[in-house]
Amino acid sequence: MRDRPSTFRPPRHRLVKSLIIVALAMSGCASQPQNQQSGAGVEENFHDPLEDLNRKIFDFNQVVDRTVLVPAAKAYRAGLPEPVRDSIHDFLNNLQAPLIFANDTLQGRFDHAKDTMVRFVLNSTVGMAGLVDVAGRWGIPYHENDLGITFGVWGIPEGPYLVIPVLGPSDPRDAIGLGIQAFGDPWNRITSGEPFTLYWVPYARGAVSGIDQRERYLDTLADIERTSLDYYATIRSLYRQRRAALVRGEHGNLPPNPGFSQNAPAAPTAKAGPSRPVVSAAAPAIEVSGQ
Amino acid sequence: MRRLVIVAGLMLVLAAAARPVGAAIEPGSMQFIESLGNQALQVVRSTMPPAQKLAFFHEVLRQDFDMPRIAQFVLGPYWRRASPAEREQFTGLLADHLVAFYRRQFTRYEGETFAVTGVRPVPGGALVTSRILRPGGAPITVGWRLGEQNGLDKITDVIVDGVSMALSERSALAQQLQANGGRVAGLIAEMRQRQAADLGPGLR
Repeated sequence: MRDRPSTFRPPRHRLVKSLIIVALAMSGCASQPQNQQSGAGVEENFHDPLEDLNRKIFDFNQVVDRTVLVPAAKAYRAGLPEPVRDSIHDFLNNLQAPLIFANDTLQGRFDHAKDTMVRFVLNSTVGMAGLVDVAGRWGIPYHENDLGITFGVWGIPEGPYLVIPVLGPSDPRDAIGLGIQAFGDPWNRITSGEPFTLYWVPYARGAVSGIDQRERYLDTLADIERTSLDYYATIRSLYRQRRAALVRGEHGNLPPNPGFSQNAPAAPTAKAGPSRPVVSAAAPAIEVSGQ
Repeated sequence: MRRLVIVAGLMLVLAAAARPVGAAIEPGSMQFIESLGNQALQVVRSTMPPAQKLAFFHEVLRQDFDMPRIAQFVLGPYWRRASPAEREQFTGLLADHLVAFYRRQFTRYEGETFAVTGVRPVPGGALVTSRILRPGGAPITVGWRLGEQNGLDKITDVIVDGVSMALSERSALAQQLQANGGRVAGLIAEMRQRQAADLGPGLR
């Protein structure tokens, strides 16, 4: 794995050249040029030009978290038994169904759109207005989706990292998506529209889902904060990776930057990954034979 | 130009020939992850004293994870600047850190079931996919990236719902290293401090 095809000086004889290409392809080194391109640069360039400001807002959010959100989430956990909390969670999830369905459709993920539709119908009826996730028990689990993900699927870049006061990690793409969604959410429209004037409903819903989410992540976030050297940087990385995974979709359950063969130690990878790495060997082959 | 065509043709032949090699390892890789996951759940749910559980996780990391390779990836460009002693210290501290974090996460899995769902070849090895099904909530997808070390499958990364453990660590530490001028020794000191503080109030 030590010699890299791009820095390798091609010998004069054609036969030797071809043999080297074959050897490179077979030893699995062929996956290297690909990784050199997409390797280190991506994550080490944090895409965070507003870091100073972001860190200040992050610190502010931490104060809000410690003084308001965490106590509220703990009280919520202590005050309500788990089945009740699960019901509230399922109810809130069910309210999201129309928006999730719209985004599934906008992204052309029609399997997901169908799942969302079936879930909404089942849970709203048999599941008593969404209080019981019947569909989930029958093997159609919930999946999240939003307009930020849709923009991502359409190829709109995420832009620089942003920390939004109270709401937390985001980026321009997700923030704009969030804003448009809040405006277009059917429940918000219904409750604040003509026959009703229940302007407080969207706020109450926002507050309850905030506490519900915070309760679910109480332990995990505490663990991350306790064990990480730089909580801000860890959260930034987790947020970015998670959003990217959602944009790639369920089958892209793997970061696009494999990295591991990039500067791998001497340990030989005898199992040359089939098809993809070998095909990518075409790049150095052209480079070598062109000289 | 003709040479180029010949080379391209050769590549295609190789691509076809390489396929069965990857496929042959697959059932073994799935079994490996399946038994590891179930064993871990068993240990977590058992009545073993916490110290013994901790020892189990350390042993798993030592035996089934390619720690030197993970450590090298996590340090990224700074690996080259580190002395052999620093590399070794860092690898040990990273393992401790991963045990501290993942053991806690694992301990919270109560009614969950674990199932391996598939395997596919990826550059440098294979990716075994699995699912953790929770009684109330969306299933968690966990990917296990495997590479070969001395003829054995070793885990090189764990990817939870699309979030790579190695990439997260790398990104967080890169920030730290940039701030301290790329001194690996400084990073090691900070990691020690953090872990000492963390181990304070018992093992939980």
